[in-house]
Amino acid sequence: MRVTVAVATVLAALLEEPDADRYGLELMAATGLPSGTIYPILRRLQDAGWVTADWERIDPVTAGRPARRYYRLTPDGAQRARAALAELRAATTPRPSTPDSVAGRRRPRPAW
Amino acid sequence: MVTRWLARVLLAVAVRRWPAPLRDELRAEWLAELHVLASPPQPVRMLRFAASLALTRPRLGARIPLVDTELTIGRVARHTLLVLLAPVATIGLGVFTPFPAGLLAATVLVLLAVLAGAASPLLRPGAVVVAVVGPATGVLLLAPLGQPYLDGAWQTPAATGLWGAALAAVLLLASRFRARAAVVLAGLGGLAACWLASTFATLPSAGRSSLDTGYALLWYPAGVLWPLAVPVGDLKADSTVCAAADCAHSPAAIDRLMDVTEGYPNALTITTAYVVAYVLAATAAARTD
Repeated sequence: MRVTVAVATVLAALLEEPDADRYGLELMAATGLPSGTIYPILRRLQDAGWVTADWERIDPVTAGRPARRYYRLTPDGAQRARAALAELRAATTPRPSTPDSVAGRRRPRPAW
Repeated sequence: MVTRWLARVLLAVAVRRWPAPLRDELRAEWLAELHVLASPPQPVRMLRFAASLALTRPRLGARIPLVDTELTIGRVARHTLLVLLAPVATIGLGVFTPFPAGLLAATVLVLLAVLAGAASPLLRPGAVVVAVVGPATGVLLLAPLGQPYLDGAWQTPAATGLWGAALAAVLLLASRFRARAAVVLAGLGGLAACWLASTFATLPSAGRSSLDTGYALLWYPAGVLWPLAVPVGDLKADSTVCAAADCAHSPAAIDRLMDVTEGYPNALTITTAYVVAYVLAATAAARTD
């Protein structure tokens, strides 16, 4: 599973409540991503086994609306998502500079 | 009401972009979300939701790589030579080879293009189309510089550019379809591109040569199907074409048309056949890999 910035954004939103069922519109609101981006990502996450999708168990006639589809991280998916986000964070966080390197940057030493 | 109908239309378009086994579930899911957005009505959000899905092509698997992994310098060199030299051959066949021999040679060239296309090192349809249509258009544009005999219709670069752009668009569209539909679409689209470009290319010289522009739409088939008789009208009376007393012995309109086109429609048609054969074979091979 290739974790792009958009995929990481969706994973971060799902990890906020790993045990909660989330639907597409809710994830769009949480991530700010458009529907054309969210649904292909959710499909890829399903194919990779990171997310499961289940239909809401309601009677559409009684509820007065069609059933929604809910997404939830699988236990394995939650673990992998945390690892992927940690990896991404480590790769994108700048390394803290040592005092020596800072001093060195301020005052370049002569080559001799 | 109209917004909801429009959003449903956009969702119907969007669903068709997804693989067939997923469509029913996705349609139901998106209609349920649309229902939420419609109560209370949020027209802008409804349209944005549906339009985003309709305009985005879902990337579900890994992206097709640009080139084949088994790439060798020899293979790249062979295909580069082919895409540069094949248009020179198609022009030669269209302009200088007499009818039956030219048709036979063109058929062999198209079969070779199918074989070469199936082994193309390029895998993405867009890259294949650019790599083949680009050099073909370039060679057609440069041909009059290398061969001063090619004047008349050959001196209209805008028409050749139009042919290249139209053919590329048609092939990009055709490469999205399955083999049979792709062949029909690319064949008809390629024919239309040739017809359009040949007509536009012949128009400027036709006026000067006293050809009847009322028959302009028949110039392309008349040029390609010659020596079969396709009506192209009579030459307009013009002192530069024939003296009034000697018009009975003036050349026929079809001969004047052939002087103007100089084999341009034939060359364009054979080049189109080669390009279509190569691109469709390459995209079909990449799809089944």
